[in-house]
Amino acid sequence: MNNKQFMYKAYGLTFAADFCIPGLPESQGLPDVIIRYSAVPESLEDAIITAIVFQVAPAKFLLNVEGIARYLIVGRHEIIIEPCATADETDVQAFLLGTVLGVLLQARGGFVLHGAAVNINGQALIATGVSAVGKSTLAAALCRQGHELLADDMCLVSFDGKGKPELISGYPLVKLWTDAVEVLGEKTSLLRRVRNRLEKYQVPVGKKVSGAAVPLRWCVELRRDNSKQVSIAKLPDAEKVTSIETNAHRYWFLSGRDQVHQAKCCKQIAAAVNGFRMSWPLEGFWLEDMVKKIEGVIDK
Amino acid sequence: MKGIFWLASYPKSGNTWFRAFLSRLLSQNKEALDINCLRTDGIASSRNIFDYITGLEASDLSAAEIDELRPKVYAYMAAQAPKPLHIKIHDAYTLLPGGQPLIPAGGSRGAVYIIRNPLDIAVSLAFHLGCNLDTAIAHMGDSEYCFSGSSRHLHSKLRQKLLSWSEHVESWTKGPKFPVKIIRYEDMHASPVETFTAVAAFMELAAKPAEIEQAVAAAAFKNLQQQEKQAGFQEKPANMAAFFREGKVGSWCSALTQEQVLRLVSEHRRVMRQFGYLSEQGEPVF
Repeated sequence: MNNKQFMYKAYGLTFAADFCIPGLPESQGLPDVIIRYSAVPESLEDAIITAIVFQVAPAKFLLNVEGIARYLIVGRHEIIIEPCATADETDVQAFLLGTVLGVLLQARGGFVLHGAAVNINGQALIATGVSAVGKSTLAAALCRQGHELLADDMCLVSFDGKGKPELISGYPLVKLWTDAVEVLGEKTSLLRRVRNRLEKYQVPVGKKVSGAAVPLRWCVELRRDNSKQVSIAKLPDAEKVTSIETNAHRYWFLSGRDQVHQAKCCKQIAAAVNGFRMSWPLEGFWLEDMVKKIEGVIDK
Repeated sequence: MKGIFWLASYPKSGNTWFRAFLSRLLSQNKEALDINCLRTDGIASSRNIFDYITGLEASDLSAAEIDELRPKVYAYMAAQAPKPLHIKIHDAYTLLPGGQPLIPAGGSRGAVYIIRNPLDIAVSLAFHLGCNLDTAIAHMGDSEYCFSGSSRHLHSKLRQKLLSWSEHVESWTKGPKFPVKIIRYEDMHASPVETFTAVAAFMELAAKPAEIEQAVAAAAFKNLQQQEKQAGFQEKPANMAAFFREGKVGSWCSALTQEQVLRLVSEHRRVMRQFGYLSEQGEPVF
């Protein structure tokens, strides 16, 4: 029996896993969350919600990804995984670091924004927006300018003693599709795939994440539209709150903290950050222009 | 009664026009129609809806894996929604490898299938895709043709298998185990009130004749075109100068070469004939 434990740090938590999770920063100390392989039931007897691929019960969340694995979150401290016999390890880990980690963060009371965040001179900028709008690609391009990646996809926000928002770093990988990888001048043949058969890659960018909380200073909502060039505009206060609410990463099936708390978090963030909306054309990448626009507003 | 009414068509067949009409009809307060805020319930290929309901990220799944989950997503939406849903769809009505339909019978109350002269679609599709006419015609004859089908790129929409134009039409007019109301784009033009009244009845919408007429007037092509000129249209593809371009019947006459017409007729003759787009002599009707 293999008793070796792998220790990692992400989103301010220390994880102890039965197995290696490539891409997560190594760590040590007492774990906050245990991840282990073991038998996972096919269903939860006391389920409150039964949906297409998951069930929710008191202090339990069961995710069943057909042909890949069943994942069970128990309380706030344990993730049990039962992979399918034919599943590839990379595929099993994709959903662990995706939905399962997202649910765990929310179950632990975390406030998560859907976006990609970078550390610019000690302050965090988060790019938000709908799927496929270019958040990760922009973050990777900013890292090319020497900035540090804080998180991709799920951005955990906490609040300091004075109620100011801070970005808690995730792990130092962005997930990019082939065309974005090529635009950034990387070779897909040298990269690890997010899933075995997807043309989506884990791209290490910039320096390793520091693990520290970084004050959140800028929120930039990305939008692709029929514009002919990249433009950026400051958001009025009312729209800033709406933008943050719209991009809050919240699973509908977890009750967690109530909506009042969620709204309060959004307002607190909106009050502390400079909000922008950056529009860019539907065709092409425009990364150079986007980075210039970002640099133009953060200098002011 | 709950359930989904599918607003189905091959692209560029008048789906947006129909949704504009329906949006006005569904509007409780009959406020002015806004093309950027249609009151129908999104599109079946929406990545956001899929992600929201499943809790997964479609971007972590292959197109085949997404397709396996899509029928369950639609059935779940239909079961959870407090009212009937009206969802746009461009996918052909296809079966998954296990034999179950992509669009489940359970949860589907019916479909309105809009069909348009493929000669006119070719012109409109070329503008929509920013390609030449021959390419658009080739797509319309391609059984493998998809929207958002590239695996190298993250598309804003889920993959949609369109099949060829003829196969698309036959998939929807022959395939579903739920009621399908077929309407022709050309009839929406020639007799809008009668055509839209029949569809409203099919969808069990209790609309008075005056309300239908008001909705038809609000969704008039010139109105949609003017709104787009003033405020843009968020569904317009990148390569297109304007989404609401001509909205005419018979624009193919001045746009297609004889060779292009012959190719389209040759590839789609049987279905064109079936739906009244070719005369008994094989001549285009519209």
